[in-house]
Amino acid sequence: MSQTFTIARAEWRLHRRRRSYWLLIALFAAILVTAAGLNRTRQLAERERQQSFQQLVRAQWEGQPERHPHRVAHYGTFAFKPPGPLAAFDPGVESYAGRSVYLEAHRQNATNFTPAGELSSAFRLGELSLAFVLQLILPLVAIVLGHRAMVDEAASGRLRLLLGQGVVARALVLGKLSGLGLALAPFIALGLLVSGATLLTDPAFTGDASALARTAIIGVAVALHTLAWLALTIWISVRATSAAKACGTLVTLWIATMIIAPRAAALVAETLHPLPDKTSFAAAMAEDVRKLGDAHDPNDPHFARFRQETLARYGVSKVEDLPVNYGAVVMAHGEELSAQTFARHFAALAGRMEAQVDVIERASLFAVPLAIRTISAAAAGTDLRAQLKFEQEAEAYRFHFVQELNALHRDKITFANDRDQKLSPEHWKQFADFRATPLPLADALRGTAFSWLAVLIWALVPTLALLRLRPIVR
Amino acid sequence: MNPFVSLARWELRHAVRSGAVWLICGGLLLASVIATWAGQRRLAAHEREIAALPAHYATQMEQVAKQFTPDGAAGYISYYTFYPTHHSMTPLAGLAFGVRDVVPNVIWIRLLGIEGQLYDSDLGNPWVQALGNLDFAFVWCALAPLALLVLCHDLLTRDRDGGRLPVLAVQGGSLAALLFARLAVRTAAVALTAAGAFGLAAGWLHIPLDGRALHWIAGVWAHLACWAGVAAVIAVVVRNVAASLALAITAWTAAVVLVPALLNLALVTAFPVTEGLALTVKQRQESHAAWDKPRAETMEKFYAHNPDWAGTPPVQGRFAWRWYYAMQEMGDRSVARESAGYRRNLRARQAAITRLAWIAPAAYAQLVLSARAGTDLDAHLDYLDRVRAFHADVRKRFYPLFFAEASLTPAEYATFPRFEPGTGRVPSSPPLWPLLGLAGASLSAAAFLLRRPTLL
Repeated sequence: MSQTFTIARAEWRLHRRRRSYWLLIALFAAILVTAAGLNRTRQLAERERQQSFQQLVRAQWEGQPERHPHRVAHYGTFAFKPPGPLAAFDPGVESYAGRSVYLEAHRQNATNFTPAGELSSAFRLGELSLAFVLQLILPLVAIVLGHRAMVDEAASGRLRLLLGQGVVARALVLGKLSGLGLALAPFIALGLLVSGATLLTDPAFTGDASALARTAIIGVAVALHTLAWLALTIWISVRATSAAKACGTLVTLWIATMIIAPRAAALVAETLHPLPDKTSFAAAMAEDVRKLGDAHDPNDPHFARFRQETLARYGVSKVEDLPVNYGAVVMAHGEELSAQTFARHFAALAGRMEAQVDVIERASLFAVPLAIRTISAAAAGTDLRAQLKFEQEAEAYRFHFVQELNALHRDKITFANDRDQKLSPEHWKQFADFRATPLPLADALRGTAFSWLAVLIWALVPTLALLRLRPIVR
Repeated sequence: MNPFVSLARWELRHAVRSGAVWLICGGLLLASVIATWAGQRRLAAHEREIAALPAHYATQMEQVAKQFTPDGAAGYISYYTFYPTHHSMTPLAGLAFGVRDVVPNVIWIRLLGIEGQLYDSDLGNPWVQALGNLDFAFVWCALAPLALLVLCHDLLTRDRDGGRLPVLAVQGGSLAALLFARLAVRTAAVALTAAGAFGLAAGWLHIPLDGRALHWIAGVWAHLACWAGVAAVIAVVVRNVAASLALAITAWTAAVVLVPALLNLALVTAFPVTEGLALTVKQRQESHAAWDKPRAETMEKFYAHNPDWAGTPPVQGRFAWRWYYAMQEMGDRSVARESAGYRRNLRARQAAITRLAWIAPAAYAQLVLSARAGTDLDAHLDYLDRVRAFHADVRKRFYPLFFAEASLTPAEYATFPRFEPGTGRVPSSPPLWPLLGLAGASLSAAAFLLRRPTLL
C-alpha cells in the first residue's frame, strides 16, 4: 500500500514540476470558462426570447376582439420548448430540434426554426459545451499526461531497477494510475467548479426539482468515463515499446471512438432504420385522414351514421332541432379522428427515431464516448426523448385547445346562421398557455441501460487488466 | 540531375516501401469509399423523393377534382392546391452534404401567406443529426489533415533522433531540399489518394469531370497544402519524434475539433437570429386581424400595392375569395421588413463565418467544399428565394381568376404553374487564397526556421 502511495506521489510530483502541465491546466480552464460563458449567454437569451414571445402571444390572444370560436381555432397559438434544465451544460439536440410550433385546428404542424438549419455547414464539426470538454477533451488530457507513465520507466531502465528493488508490479501500476488520477484532479476540479458556477446561476437548473440528481448522475458517468481512459492510457503505456507508439495508439483510439464512431453509428442507424421523407409521410397521413370520411359530404357513410347516432341520442329527427350546434359537434368529432390519425403516424415516426437511437446506443459498446453522450444528454433533459416529449405534449395541448373552442362553438353558437355569430373576448381569457414540462428523470434514464453497461465495461476491463498485469521488462 | 529531383526520387522509393504510407492512404481511401456510399444513399433518397412528387401532386389534384366536379371556385380550389417545390442537388452534393440533412429538400406551398410556409423543420432525427455526417468532405477536411501530420511530423526528427541529421547536413545537400522533397512526396501520396478517391466517387455518383469537379477537388488540395505547411513547421521546430507527434496531435485537435466548435458557439451567441419567430407571430396576427376589419380597408391597402386591380367592384358581404387572398398577401407584406431582416442576418452571419473560418482551416475547407457542392446555407437561402418567386408567380396567375370570381373545371388544373428548380446554379463559393496563403506562410516559415543551425 505504501509503495503504491509513494509511486503515486512521485508520479504526481513529476507532472507538477513540468511547466507544460500548468500551461495545460490554464488552457483547459480557459476553454471551460469560454464554453460555460457562451453557452450560458445563449441559453439565457433563448429563455428570455421565449418568455417575451410567450407574453406577446398571450397579449395577442387576450386582445382578440369578438370572434367566432372556429376563427379562433384557426388563429391558433404557439408552443415553446424552453431549453432543458441542464442545457447550459450539455445542449444535446437543442441546436438540431425546432423550439417552437404553431398550433392550429385540423393540422399538426412541424416544429420550426431549427438553429442548425440557420447555420453554415462549416460548423457541423462540433459544438463547444461543458459536456463536450469533459467528454472529449478530458480524456485527451489523460492521454497526453499519461501515455509515457510506464513506457518511460521501461525505456530509461528504471523499471528493471524498481522491480529489482522489490517494488510489486501491481503497486507500481496502481501507483501510476493513482498518480495520474491526482494529476488529473485539478482538471476535474475545474470542470466541477465551472459547471457548478454555471448551473447554480441558471434559473432553469435551480428551478428543476431533480437538478441535483441529474448532476450527480452525469458526475458518476463522467468519472467512470474518465477512469476508463485513465486505465486504458496506463495499460497501453505498459504494452507500448516507445512513447511515440503509446501516444499514437491512444490517439488513434481517441479519434476512432470520439470523432469517427459517432458519425459511423449515425450512418448505420440511418441505414438500418431509414426515416420516411416528409412528402411521403405527409401523404400517407393525408390518405388516412381522407379515409376517415368527408364531414361536408351528406352521403359519406361514416358521417351519415354519426349524424343518425347524434340525432338518436337527443331524440330528434333533424339536426336543426338539436339543442347543440351540430356543425361544432361534427367538427369536434372530425378533429378527434384526425388527431388520432396524426398521433398514430407521429408515434410510428418517433418509434423509428428511437430505433435509430437504440442502434447508436448499442454501438457504444465499441465506442464508449457514445455512451457518455447518451447518458449526459438524457440526464440533462436535452436528448431526443425530451424533444419528443415536448412535441407530444404540444400536440396534446393543441387537441385540447381546439376541442375547448369546439365546445364553445357547440354550446354558444346556434346552428342557424352559424358563421355570422361571434363570442365576446371574455371567453378567450379562460384558456391557459401551454407549459412544457421536462421529462421526469426516471423516464429519461430508462433508455440508458446499455450506455451504463458500456461505460462500466470500458472502465472495468482495463482497470482489472492492469491489476493482473506484470510490467514487461525489456 | 537537379539535386532536388534526385532527392525526391530517393524519397519516393522510401515512401513506396513504407508501410505507414500505404496504411494511411489505404485508410483514407476506405473512409472515402464508405463516405461515398453514404452520399450515394442520400442522393438516391433525395431523387426518390423528387421523383415521387408528380404522383403525390396528381393524387392531391384527383381529390380536389372529386370535390369540385363539374367545377369549383378558383379561390376554393387554390385553397386546397399545394404545389411541390424542391431543391435540386448536383451529384457533388453526395460528397459534401452541407446543411442538406437539417433543412427540408422539398417544400409544399399553397397560395396562402408564404412567410408561414418556409421555415418548418424536416423530419430528421435531431440526435442522429447532432452526431454528424460521415461524408467525403468530412474525411478530407477532418481526417486527412491528421493523416498528413502523422506521415510528415517526423520528416527530420527521425534523423535527428537517430543522430543522422548533422551528417546529412554536412554532406553538402541542403536540409531544406531534403525536407521539401520528403514533404512533397508524402503530400503527393495523400493528394493522389484524394484524387483517386474522388475519381472513384465521380464514377459512382455520375459526377461529370468538368471544371466544377476540378474546382471542387482543388479545394481539397488547397486544404492539404495548408496542412503540409503545418507539418513542415512541426518537423522543423521540434527536437524528437515523441514531441513532434504530440505537437501534431495538439495542432490537429485545436484546429479541427476545438476551434471550429468554439467559433460555432461564439458566432451563434454573437449573432442571434431572432426575426424568424417574430415574423411568424406577426404575420399570423396581421392576416387574422383582417377578418375583424371592414373588407374594403384590406382591399384599399391591397390596391396600393397592386394598382392593376384598383377600381374593381367592392367586396359584398362577409366573404369573397379575392378579399381572402388579398388579405393573405397583406399578411406577407406586413412582415416584409422582418422577413428581409431575417434573410439579411442569416447571410450576414454566413459572411462572418466565411471571414473568420480560415482560423480553422478544416472549417474553412468544409465551407468551401459544401459551397461548391451547392449544399451550404447560401444555396438553401437561394432555394427559399426561388420558392418565394414561384409563389409570387402563382399569385399573379390566379389573381385574375379571383377577381373574375371564375370557376375552374378539373381539365384546367393541367395549366397550373409548376415549380422549376432552376439550373442548379451554385452560389459563389469562398476563395481558396486563405488556404493557399496559410500554406505559403507556413512553408516559408519552415524554410526560414530551417536555416537556424541550432536546430540540428
